[in-house]
Amino acid sequence: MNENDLIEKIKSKDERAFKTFVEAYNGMVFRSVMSFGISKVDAEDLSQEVFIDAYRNIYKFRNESEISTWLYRIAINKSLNFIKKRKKIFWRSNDDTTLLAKDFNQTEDSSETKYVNEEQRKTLYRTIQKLSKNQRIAFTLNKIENLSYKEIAEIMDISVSSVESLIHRAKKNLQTRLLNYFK
Amino acid sequence: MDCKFFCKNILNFYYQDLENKEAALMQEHLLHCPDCLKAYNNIAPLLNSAEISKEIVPDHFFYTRLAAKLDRPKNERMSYSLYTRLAQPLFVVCLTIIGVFVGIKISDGIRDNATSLNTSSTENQLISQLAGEYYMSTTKEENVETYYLSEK
Repeated sequence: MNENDLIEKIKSKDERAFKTFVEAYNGMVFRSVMSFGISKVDAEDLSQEVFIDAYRNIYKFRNESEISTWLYRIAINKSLNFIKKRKKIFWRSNDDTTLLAKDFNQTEDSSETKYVNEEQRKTLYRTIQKLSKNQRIAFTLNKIENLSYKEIAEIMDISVSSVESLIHRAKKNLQTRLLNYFK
Repeated sequence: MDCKFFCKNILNFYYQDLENKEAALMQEHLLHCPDCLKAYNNIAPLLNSAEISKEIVPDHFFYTRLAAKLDRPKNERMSYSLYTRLAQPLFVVCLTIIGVFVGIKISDGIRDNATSLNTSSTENQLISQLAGEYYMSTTKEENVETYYLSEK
């Protein structure tokens, strides 16, 4: 079943098609929410809200962009609203790490290595959170989610050159902060 | 290449956003500059830690929980929050006021009963006291025959 057929079936409230859709995109949505430094529990709630919104508003989707772009847009808006509401970022706890990084856990890492990795990830996300909103979104989508400039431009509803500029500035700021962190 | 240029492009080097010539120069500089190598070795694992995030997936019951939420009416959460925020505290406040009012009424009732009981017991005491006094006064009365005999 191709993506268009899947969307048409979801529009006609086919639950099996929606399940397939959720299973295909839940990882992407979940990761994009978590990349804003939101805790695992809240990220799961937000991801569910993203899919509920998508299911209820799928009739508004007109195949003008990729469905993933549309989902990213919902996920980013939800995440930003969540952060704005709480005005506090809930960092993932060590317990979350053991639950989340499933494949990573399968490797024979010692608990010390895991701890070091988790600390490094926290430091990185904390530094990313200090960037401006647009720089943070553009950088996260490009360097963590591996989206192209064009895709990011569609999600953020800005030009490709603006995305390039945002990522350039984000890298520069992040670099300065990271170098200062280790001084 | 100097250290300043290396530090300015350390993220571009990590993300391979440099041109081949510049990347080669950076690589060469790394081999000869221990300070820049140290800086790179500090930053690279931090940036690499984001790769682990790519493995993150929600658990297998994600859809089950989602389906349960999906079945609920759209405005249920809203009405629930309205209930929680307004109706529930109001109900508790009303209940407390009614409770206090009923409590006051009950205590008033108990007090009235106690007063009436006290009043009746005082009356009884008075009656028995009077009766006692009367009895005592009658027993102390002089016999009529004795009176007349003494008169004579």
